[in-house]
Amino acid sequence: MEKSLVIRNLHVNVAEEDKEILRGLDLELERGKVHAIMGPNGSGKSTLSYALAGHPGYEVTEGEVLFEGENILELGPDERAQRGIFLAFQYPMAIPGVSVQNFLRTAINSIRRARGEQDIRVPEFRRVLNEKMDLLRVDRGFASRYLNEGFSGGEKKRAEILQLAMLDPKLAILDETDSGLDIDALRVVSNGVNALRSPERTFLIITHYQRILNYVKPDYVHVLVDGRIVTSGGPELALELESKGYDWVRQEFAVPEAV
Amino acid sequence: MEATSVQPTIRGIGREAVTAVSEGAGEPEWMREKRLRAWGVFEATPMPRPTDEEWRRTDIRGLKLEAFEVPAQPGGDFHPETSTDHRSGFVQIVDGYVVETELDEDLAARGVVLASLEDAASRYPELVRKYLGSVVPAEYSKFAALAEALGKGVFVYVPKEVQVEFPIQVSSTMTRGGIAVFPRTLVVAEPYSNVTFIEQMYSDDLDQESLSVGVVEAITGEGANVRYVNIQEWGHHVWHFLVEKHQIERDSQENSLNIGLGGKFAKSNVETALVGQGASCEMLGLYFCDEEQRYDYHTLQDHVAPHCFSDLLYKGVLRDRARAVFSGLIKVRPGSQKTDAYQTNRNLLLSDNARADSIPNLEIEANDVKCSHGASVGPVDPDQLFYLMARGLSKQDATRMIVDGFFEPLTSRIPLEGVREKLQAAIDQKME
Repeated sequence: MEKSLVIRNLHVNVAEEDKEILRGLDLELERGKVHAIMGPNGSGKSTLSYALAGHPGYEVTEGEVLFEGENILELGPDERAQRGIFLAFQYPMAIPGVSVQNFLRTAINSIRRARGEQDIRVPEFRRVLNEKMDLLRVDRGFASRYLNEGFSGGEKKRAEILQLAMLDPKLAILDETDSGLDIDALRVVSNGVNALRSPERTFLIITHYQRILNYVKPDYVHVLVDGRIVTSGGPELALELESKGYDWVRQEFAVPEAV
Repeated sequence: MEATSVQPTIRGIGREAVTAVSEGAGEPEWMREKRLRAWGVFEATPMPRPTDEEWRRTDIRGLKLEAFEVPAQPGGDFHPETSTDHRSGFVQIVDGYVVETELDEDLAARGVVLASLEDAASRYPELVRKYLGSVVPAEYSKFAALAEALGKGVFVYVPKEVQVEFPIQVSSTMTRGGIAVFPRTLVVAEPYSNVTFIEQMYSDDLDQESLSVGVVEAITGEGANVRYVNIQEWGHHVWHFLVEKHQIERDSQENSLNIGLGGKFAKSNVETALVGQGASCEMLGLYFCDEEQRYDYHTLQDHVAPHCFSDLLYKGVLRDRARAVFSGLIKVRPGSQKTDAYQTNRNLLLSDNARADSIPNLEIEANDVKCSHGASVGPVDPDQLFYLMARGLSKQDATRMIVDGFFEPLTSRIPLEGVREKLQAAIDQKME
């Protein structure tokens, strides 16, 4: 089994609050598989996604993270993206005055240049962009709009998946992409994710709810409670969690209540 | 050319220079009188002091007017403005001298005038006499008086109902350090006419300080539509003073854009007086200060008539140890009911040592108005930065993208593509 990502004994503090959120997290992601992480509010889900993407506000105090065999903890967020890590944000930022297409082309070229490749040619970029927008049922006019500015919740999430499709990462982390989506939007986003599954691409879907997993079938489910993965299993674990609730996990796996 | 008839002697800023400038241009007597009168106002007006309210945050004690020479002729070695844009007219100014004037023949046949102000004073005395100094009199300030006394520049006249299809561009450059220029622009758009005017000032960075003291007067007649763009890209050795004032009449529409990138120091007073009811104006500003640059903007939205609309947006980026002051006033005169006036100033700081002060003011003497103002000064949002970096952009590229986006609502308003591209290149260079 080939590993895409290996996390060992990861401890992360939120720098501003000087509070330990991840407390010795271990996790291995198999290349080309869809892994889901489920956990209650405050368990450290978003902290994990930010720490993996290299957010400066999250301080790793212990442990290691190997991506494709390379320790990435010393790398900046841009270098991690250039190596193929993509985070779909729970709350994507608006960048006023910057169009979706201008942003996407700059991002693609930043990644290409870091890999010593040529810039994408404009006709090719247009063709791929149109293809991916069609795939995600995004109106073509979307490309000229300012990034995330005035976007509805559903549009923001679709824009994130469009970025995922365009940047073609090896590891895609989806941080609560399903939250706040109505059923139609959830279906569109899920179909997009399914269409982007490949043996070369690993997914880490972080979610509070089992709902998205009805549409994107995970290969593995991991349960995050109080900063640690307490149990892992197959897709059936998600259903069990949904019916029994997170209290069941705490009791079953003897996790002390968070202080 | 008139300039060649003058002996190229060195002279400083003084009464003698005023007479020489007027004689060199072969101006009529009344124009010389006007200059000498302004010189009198200049002499009678004290230099601004740090205790003056308008100058509290900007110190010009380092400015030595006597150090500058008034050029007796244009330097021969200059970078001409080259462009492939469609233009209705073009003027090249070198060291204060108009060296080239070009105007679309059809427009000329329909009575449009594009000429040096000195020529216009002889050829169109009734127009120039009527309008020159009518919007910005010498008494406006010491610098306005100086510009009236020594000013040379451009006169644009658009007759009633004439539509000027493409922009008219004026490019002004300085070839040497140690000189002083006094660019003077007069734009008169008669009722129901339409014109777009772009004025650029540019030079290399030179060692020796130079001075530019300018006045722009733009009159938008009833129902007319004027777009005016001023781009200041002097070298970092130039002291720049500008009074730019627009007077807009009933039911007219005026859009101004003031861009500041160059200079060592820039003091700009940008004003619009809405004097006829139903007039509407948009006042935009963009500045990017780096190194030790000092900018000071004073803006005024002067609502003299009822049912007028004004919307001001000035955006600045500062880096290194640069400093900018923005002070904006919305003034609603008695009886100017149903005024709709907005003012916004936003500043983005790219370094801890850069500083911007934003001072919005309202002075309202009518009771049925809608006015608002907003100001902000702050660093680049770290969450925006992280978002872009998480997509593979380096910190510098991400910052550049945020800055470009910040300026986009302003740069997109520049009506000539070539000018827009050069401006973008200048902004990019400042980001290096």
